[in-house]
Amino acid sequence: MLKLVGYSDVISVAPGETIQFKVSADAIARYHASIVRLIHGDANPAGPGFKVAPVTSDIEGFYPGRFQPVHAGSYMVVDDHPALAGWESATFGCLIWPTRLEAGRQTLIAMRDPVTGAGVALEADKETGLVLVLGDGERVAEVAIRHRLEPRYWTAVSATIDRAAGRVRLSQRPVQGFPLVARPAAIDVPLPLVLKASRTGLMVAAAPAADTPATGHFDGKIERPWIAGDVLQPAAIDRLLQPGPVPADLAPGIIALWDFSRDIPGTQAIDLGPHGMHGWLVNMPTRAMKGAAWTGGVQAWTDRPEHYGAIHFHCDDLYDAGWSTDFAWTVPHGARSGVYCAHIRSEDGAHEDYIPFALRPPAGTATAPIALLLPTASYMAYANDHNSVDGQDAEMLMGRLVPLQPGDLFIDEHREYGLALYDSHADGSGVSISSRLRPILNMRPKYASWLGAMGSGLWQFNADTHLTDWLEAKGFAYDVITDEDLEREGYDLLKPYRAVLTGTHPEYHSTRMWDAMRAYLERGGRLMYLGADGWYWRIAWHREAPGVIEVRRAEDGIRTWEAHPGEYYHAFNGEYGGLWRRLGRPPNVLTGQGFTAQGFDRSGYYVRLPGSFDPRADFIFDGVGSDERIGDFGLVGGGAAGLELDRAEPLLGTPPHTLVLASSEGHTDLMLLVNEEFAVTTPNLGGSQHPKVHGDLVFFETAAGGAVFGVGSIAWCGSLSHNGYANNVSRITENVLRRFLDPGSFAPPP
Amino acid sequence: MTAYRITEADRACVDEFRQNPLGPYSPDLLRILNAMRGAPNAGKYCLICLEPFRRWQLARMTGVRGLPPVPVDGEVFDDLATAEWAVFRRRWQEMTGETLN
Repeated sequence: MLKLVGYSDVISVAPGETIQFKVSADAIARYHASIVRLIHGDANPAGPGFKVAPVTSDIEGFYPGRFQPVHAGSYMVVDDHPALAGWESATFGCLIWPTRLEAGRQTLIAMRDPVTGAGVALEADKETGLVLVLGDGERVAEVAIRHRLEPRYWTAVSATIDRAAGRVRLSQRPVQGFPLVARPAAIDVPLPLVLKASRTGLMVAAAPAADTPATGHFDGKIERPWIAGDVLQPAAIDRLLQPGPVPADLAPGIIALWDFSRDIPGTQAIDLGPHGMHGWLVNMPTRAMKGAAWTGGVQAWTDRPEHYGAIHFHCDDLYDAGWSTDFAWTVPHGARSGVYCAHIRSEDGAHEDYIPFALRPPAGTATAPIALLLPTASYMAYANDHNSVDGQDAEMLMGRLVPLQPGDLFIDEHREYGLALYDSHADGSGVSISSRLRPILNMRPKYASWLGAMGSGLWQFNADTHLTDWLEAKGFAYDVITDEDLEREGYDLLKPYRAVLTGTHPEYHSTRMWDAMRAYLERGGRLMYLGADGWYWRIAWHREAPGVIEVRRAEDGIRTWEAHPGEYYHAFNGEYGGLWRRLGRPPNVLTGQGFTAQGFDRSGYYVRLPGSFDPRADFIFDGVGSDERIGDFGLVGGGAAGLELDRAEPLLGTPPHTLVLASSEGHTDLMLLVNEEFAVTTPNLGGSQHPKVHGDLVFFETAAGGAVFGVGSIAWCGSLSHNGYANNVSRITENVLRRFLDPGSFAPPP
Repeated sequence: MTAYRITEADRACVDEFRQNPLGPYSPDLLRILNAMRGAPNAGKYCLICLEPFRRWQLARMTGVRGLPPVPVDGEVFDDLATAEWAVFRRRWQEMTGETLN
């Protein structure tokens, strides 16, 4: 089991800036830290092997190890306020849509001291329904309604503490009733003890804990939690729960009412009450969720936010692990751009971790003519993916036994390290938010992924080191920039570069990132798209919180979960989510290709097409025989055409003058057409039969004198190092790159 | 659970798998493998990597989040094809009752 793991506060750092590293050492007294430049992260003995270059830095040395825990689970928290503790009698409640009652007691609203037990907590339980826990600081009592709660239906719940009458009342009223199972229930009993108020503030969807930030996490949706300093009758409660402002006649009695439909993109829950006790939303629960008032009349939360007054909380949400910094590196001026890692290693050498980051050039400058745009948003999308153990289909997709790495085993056991955009939460709902402020154990050199095909098994980050290794071996000077830089700086980031190289799988792009690449191409830029399944999903970055992305898996596409109807719009920015193809901006428009097939067993190769003999393509095939198979070798599945394939398609926007240079073949029936490519299921979707299951090598010039070259396969870069880098995949890549670096404009085709 | 059930006619696919455990597979063999490989995760075989690219421990998943796979005693492999054949034999026995040599 891994005992030494870490992460950094930023994913990209420029000379003069500081990057902080946060490390957890489990029973390791001391560890050594150093900075290395990562060249080749693939440890496969069939390839060039693992390569890093040591970097002298002032952080190098030994550090004391300390354990740093991760606390997952989202909730709302309000700091202590006199009004929360000063009431004599009170009524409080909310609307709930529970999803995981089988997990046991879950807290809805807590105003309770975790040490003394003083105060109250409203909880949900599958069998006993609503439970109120009360404490006087010494004793604890419970009142349960003893009527089951129905999962995945809205129920209005409330508790009334009437000290004058010495009574406690609980109520649960289904918004939609069902005979026998979901009907209103209430209980009215003597107050079991003399309640003592807590001064620990208020939490929603969790309870304060003595030794962790929170406990008793609730899974499911909560809407409109409120507290009134009075005894409220059911009719008044029903009116309070209606969307919109607090009814004027009820306002004087309200202590607080949190309207989750206000400022949905933010990280605060807005209090409509008189004290402005806005709540902090911890660990990024999912906002813009349909509330009890949703009718289907609108599909966009931006049209009627009041219909999206719910927040979905999950016990396994995680935004920021929040670890303390162990060491920080201020990058010296003049440091070479590249992919770097902080390498931490236990004294006995038994445990190590590499914490990767991009060392980029200072903003507004370039230190090389080539930019490698690291697809860090896509790394985040796959961050700590659990599908090798959670997904039933992994072995069938791969065509071989699932191999589990130490990192896979670690995140399986340590669910608190958070999930990927391909995972489902413990309650079965899809994970739509992913952050990098946590150790990401599948974004590591030496890591081999279940998704990465036979051979090296590389995927995403580590697969992209096949490209850095090739650039180094060929002596090309290159800068490394990231998706996050592109989101921040837009086209200005790309502007200085003669050529921009993608990674092997640049799948996730925000609107700003998409626009930046289009601007680059419209102004004469040259793009080498050295992967596939690019510009596929739209994402949104958070306006306040750094290092976190959201995806709404709407409508269509290869996906392991689906957004619910009516929830296709990102909470972070209100944009409609889904495939860029479905948004009217297919990747073909930028790259000449779009996603067509995926298969994770073995890779095929390319054969040249007539387009490759067009004089416009002469420079590409210089030194390549007319009947050579291209890339019938490689570390990723044994060929250059594999994992995921892109195909030229004029009907989806591949420019009409695009040269389709070569197409792949040799695919097995585990290489299957992607689902957005067919509207009717047919029995020929596999690689041995379907004509659209192939990757294309494409080239086209842009109107501004630039050009685009695309390889149509994630596996391409895995073939670059074959035979000491002397092979036709390497040759073609080098031919194109050298011409793209030549400032001479590409003539528009005749 | 998958709908496909192995029949007597599938016996001919055993040799194909034995000779070529890592594929590509004929359609008939792939149908059997999909039934084996698509089964639920509780008790499903997997490999724990002991030494990268060199040694793997056979294990069975629990199908429960957070409960780690349980190693199968004595089943350590130094090549993936052998591991595939070993698991095929186990699954064939579990699904048909027949022990393959």
